[in-house]
Amino acid sequence: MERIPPRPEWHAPWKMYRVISGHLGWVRSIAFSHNNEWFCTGSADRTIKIWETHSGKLKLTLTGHIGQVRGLAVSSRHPHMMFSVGDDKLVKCWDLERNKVVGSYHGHLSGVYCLALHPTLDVLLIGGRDSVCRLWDIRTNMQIRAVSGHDNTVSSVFSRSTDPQVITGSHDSTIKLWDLRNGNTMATLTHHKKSVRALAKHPTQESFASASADNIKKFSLPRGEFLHNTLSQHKTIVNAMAVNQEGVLATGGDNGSLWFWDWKSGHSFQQSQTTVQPGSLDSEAGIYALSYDITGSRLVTCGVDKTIKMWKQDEHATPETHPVNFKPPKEIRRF
Amino acid sequence: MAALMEILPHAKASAAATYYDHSNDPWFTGRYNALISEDNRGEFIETNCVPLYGTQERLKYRPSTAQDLGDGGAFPDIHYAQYPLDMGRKKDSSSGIKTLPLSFDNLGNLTCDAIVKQNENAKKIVYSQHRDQIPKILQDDKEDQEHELDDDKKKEIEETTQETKAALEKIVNVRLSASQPKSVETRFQDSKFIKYKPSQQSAAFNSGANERIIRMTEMQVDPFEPPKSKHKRIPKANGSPPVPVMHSPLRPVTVQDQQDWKIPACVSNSKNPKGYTIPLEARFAADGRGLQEIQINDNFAKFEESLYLAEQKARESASMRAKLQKDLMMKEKERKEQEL
Repeated sequence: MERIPPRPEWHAPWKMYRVISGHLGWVRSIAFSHNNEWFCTGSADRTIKIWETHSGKLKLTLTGHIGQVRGLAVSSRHPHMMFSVGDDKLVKCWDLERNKVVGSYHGHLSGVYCLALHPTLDVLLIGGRDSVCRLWDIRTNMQIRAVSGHDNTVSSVFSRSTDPQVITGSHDSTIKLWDLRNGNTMATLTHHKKSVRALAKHPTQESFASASADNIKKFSLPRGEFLHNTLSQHKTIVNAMAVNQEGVLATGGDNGSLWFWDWKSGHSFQQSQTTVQPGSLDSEAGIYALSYDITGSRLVTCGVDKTIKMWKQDEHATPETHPVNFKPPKEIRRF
Repeated sequence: MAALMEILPHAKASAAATYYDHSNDPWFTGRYNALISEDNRGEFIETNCVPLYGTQERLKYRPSTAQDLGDGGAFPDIHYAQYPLDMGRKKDSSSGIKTLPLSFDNLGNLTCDAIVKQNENAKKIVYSQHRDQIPKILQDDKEDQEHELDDDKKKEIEETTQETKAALEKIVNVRLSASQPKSVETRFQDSKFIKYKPSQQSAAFNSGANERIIRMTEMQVDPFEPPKSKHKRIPKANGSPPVPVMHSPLRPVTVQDQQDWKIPACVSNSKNPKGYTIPLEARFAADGRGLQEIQINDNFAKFEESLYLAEQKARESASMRAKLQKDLMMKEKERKEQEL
C-alpha cells in the first residue's frame, strides 16, 4: 500500500538577482499582469506600486486604501482591471487605463485577507477575518453569496473552472471545497493541525498544496484526497506559497526562509534564507507574499524589510555541479 | 334572568340534541371500532402480582412493563416513571432512524463510518478511513495524461461555467431588482376605484351625496426613509455536522518552545503610569546603556601608527641632518685651522 517516494527531479538552484526597495512599509501582496510586463505589490504603507518586470523600475503608485493592502489580483479576462483588498475592509477595483477606482465592494465585516478571481466567470472571491468567503459579481458590485462554514479567518482562497470551483484555507486549520452553484461545502479537509495560510494550485495538474506551520500537504482534485506531505518540515509559519510549471514549489516563511521543493516527490532541494536590507532588524526577514511570473522563470518575494526581491534560476548550474542531495526516507510522515 | 332570556335569540336546536353523539363522528369511528375489535379479540393484559403495601418488596418494586401495571392506573406511592397503558410514553418516531443499519463496503468489510455520513454529510465527501491518511504519490502516467486540456475537459469546463453562471445570475437578478426602486414605482401606478354608496341616504349623512367614488392607492414610501424595524441579530445557523479529524493530536509544547515564547515585560524609563518599582538592572537594560558597544574605527589606530612612524622618521632625519651639519662644520673648522 505504502509507496516509496520517487526520486526527485533535478531543478537548478535559485538565486537572488535584484532587490527593489521602494515601499515604506511591509510588502504584503503581489500579483503579476498576464502579459508579464509588470507586477503590482501592495504594502502596509497603504499604497499599491506597479513595477516593470524586466527592469524593476517603478511605473506607478496607487493610493486609496486606508489600511494595509493584503491582497492583489489582476484579471485575465479584463487585462486592465486590478483588484485590491485591504485590512480596511475595502475591496477596490482599479481601472489601469485611467488609474482610477472603478468599483468597490462594500459589505465585509472585518479585514479582508485574500482574494481570487474565477477563471471563467466575472466573479470575485474574497476571504477575510469575518470567516466567510464572499462572492461578488464584478459588474454589478452585488454580493452574490457569502459561503460560511469556517470557524476562523479565511486566509487563502483559490478558484477553478470546474467543480469544486472554490477552495478556501482557514485559520481553523481546515480546508473547504465549495460548490459555487448553491454555496454548499463539498468536502472539509481536516488534515492540518495549524492554520492553513497558503494554498497553491498546480498550473497543469489536478492537485493543490496547502501550507501550514506543521506541514505542507498535497491534495488531489476534484475530490480533495490527501496525497502526501512534503518530505521535510519547513519549521516556521509559512505565509506564502507558489508553484510554477516546472514543478518547483516555493514557500516563504515568517523567519525569512525561502524553501524550494520538487513538486512530484516533495523533496526540498534548496533551503535559502533571505538577508534583510541594511538598516532592518534580523527579525524583519520574513516573507509575506511570493509569486512566480507568468512564465514561471522568475520568482518575486515580498518581505517585512520593505523590499521586493527577485530570484531566478542559476543558468550555469547542471546536475553535475549541483547534484540532488536526496536520501529516500524510510516512510513518509502521515500527520 | 328572564329578561336576558328574552333578549337572547332562540336556541337553534333543542337541549337534548346538543349532546354530541361523538360515536358517529368520523374521527371517532375508527377508534371505537378499534377498541371494540380489540375487546372482541379478548386480549387482556395479564397482570403480575404486586407486592403489598408496607413491605420491603413494595419499596423496591419498579413497575415498568404493561404486565406490572395491569389494565391501568399507576402506583403513586412508588416514585418511578410509570406509563400505564403506555400513556405518556413518548412514541419517538425518529428512534428508529437513530439506530443506523450496518453497512458494508464493496469488499465486504464492515464500515463503521456510517455515522459521519448521515444527514447533511451524506451529500458531501467525508474522509474517515485509515486509507485516507496514507500518503499516495502520483504516478507518472496520470500526470502526463492530465497535462493537456482535452476536449472532454473543455466541455466539462463549459458546462460548469454555464450552470454556475445561470445559478449566480438568478441570485444577482433578484438582488438587483430588490435594490432598484423600479418595482416600487409600478406599485403606485395601479390604483383601485371604489364606488361607495352609503346605506343611510339622507342629507344629514355624507354631506348629502348619494354616492362617492374612492380612489385607493398605496401610500407612497419614501425610499430614503430609514427602516422602521430594527435590525435583529439573526442567530447563527447551526453549522454543518462535524467531520472526522484526520490529524494526530497536537504535541505538547516543549520547554524550549515555551521559553522561546516568553516575552519580557516592557520597561520604559520615561513612562511608568502605575508606579511599579523597577529593578535597577531592568532600568539599565531599558536605557540601552550596556547594549551599545563602543566601537573604534581601525583607521584611528592606523593613523596613530603612521603618525608615530612619520614622526620617528622625521626625528631621525632631523638628527641625521644635524649630525651631518655638525660634521661639516667640524671639517670646515679643521680646514681653517690648517690654513692658519
